[in-house]
Amino acid sequence: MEEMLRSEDLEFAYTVEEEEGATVQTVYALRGVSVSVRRGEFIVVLGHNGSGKSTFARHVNALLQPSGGSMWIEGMNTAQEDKIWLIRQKAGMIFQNPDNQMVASIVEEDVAFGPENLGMQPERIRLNVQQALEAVGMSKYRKSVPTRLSGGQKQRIAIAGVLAMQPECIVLDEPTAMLDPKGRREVMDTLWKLNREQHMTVIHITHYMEEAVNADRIIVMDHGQVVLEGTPREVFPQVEVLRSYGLDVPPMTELAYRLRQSGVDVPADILTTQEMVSALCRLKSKT
Amino acid sequence: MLRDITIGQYYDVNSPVHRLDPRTKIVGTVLYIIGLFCVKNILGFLVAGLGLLAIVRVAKIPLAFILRGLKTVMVLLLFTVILNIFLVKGDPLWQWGFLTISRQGVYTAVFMALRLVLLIIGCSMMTLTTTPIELTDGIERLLRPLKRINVPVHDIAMIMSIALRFIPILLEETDKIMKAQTARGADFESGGLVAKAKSLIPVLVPLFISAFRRADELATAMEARCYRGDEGRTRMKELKYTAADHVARGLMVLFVAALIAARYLPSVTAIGAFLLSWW
Repeated sequence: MEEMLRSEDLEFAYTVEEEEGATVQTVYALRGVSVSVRRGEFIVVLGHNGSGKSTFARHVNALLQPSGGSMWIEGMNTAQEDKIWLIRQKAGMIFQNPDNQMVASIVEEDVAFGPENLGMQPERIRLNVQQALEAVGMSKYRKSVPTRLSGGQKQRIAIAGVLAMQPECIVLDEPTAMLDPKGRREVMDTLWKLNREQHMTVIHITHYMEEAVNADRIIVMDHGQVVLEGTPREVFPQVEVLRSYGLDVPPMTELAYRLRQSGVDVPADILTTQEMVSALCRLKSKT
Repeated sequence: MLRDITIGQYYDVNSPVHRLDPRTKIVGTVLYIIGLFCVKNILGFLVAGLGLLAIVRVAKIPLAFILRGLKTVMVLLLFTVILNIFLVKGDPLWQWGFLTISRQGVYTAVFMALRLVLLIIGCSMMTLTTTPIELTDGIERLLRPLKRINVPVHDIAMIMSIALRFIPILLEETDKIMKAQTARGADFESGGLVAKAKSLIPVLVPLFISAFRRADELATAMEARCYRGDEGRTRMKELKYTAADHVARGLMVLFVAALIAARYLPSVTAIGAFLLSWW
């Protein structure tokens, strides 16, 4: 499969001045991050607070410039000044707070904001807005006021706002962190639909483990470095390793881990309740 | 209280007035205001009132809704009326101690009240029939000539629309902070004016911090969506004058002309009477 995004030895450092500006300390938010994402992949980036996952996300669409190494989107280096707007169009970004990323007071006008900035023709903007709202299932709320929508709906509007720019890839920086369970499910369903139906490349940053269960690949970050990488089935059974990075595992994987510890022979890579049920049934029929 | 303010609110119905280009409505309102200040007699106010009533009808906005909006400015209105009645000097109608009501005073007060009411209804007709975005778009287009003398017209319009977008959010946040402070024993109700103002400081500080944080996040989000100012930006809803706009503009000019003409009409009748007596 074609490569969508690649980071080579990505490094981001900033200096912290201590009181009175005396001691200057260099802090590395990212250190030697090399990641490659293929077109159409659903990637989940996990990590504790301060693990550098948000900093990584901000490098994808050139909101931050690396202090070392490089970031490539479809073969374009984010350090190239003249490509910045094209890169931002290709790699759309969604942020945590749904309220603080809406510009206009009418849903439809907000979704149109991105395409307007790209200088698209009015007819094309209208078409893109309509399709984007349909893709996130919010066509009905075209004329609504954002303040009257729920958190999940607002976040879906934000996704529509990015879709209207016709990106190749969407980066989401903890889009579900401020939502209730219902809103979280809405957002995740929308992302999955986009990934399956439109083969949208999704890079989803979160600290909710259950959102990572169906991902194509999981990248675990800690202290600015990629510490684990692989499919959910490869990553989650490493319960103790994940714990050492301050992360949990999905509830069923946790249960499988404890069962194995107490001598029950179930597979370690169980992720869902369904899998747990069938594993236990198999065990029962054997005895 | 905040819910009662209808000035600046948008009333969502589909009417010919709603469909007009915002520029037509803005220019029309400005003309109307000028016309209103030219009015000097009861005939003029009659013309203004009837014209305005016709616009309200065409815009399909219930009169009760507009009158509710007037309630909030009632205090200001009463204040002006009372001041005018007592302070304007002229032929005394009634006297008690140092208080005098003059004929001219009553006239001025009544005219002032009528003018204010018509002014407020007229202006709220513009905001009731135009969405904030349309309004700022219209202002941006109307001010475009100023760009040549380096006035950042686009930026001003963008600031206005973002401000409008964040007013409800910040109001909600204020409410939240106040509740949080009340829960921890803060008292916003009792005490004099100074005490009340002082008790607002612990509300304003977190509100400002949060507003700055929001501004920062919004700026990042706008940048991520390729915002780079006016340069190369198109609009989904291009402003375009239609036949209805030309009709509306024609009617508006007639209306304002009638307002100004009404000022001279009594003198016309006076001339008539004079000619008649002379003959």
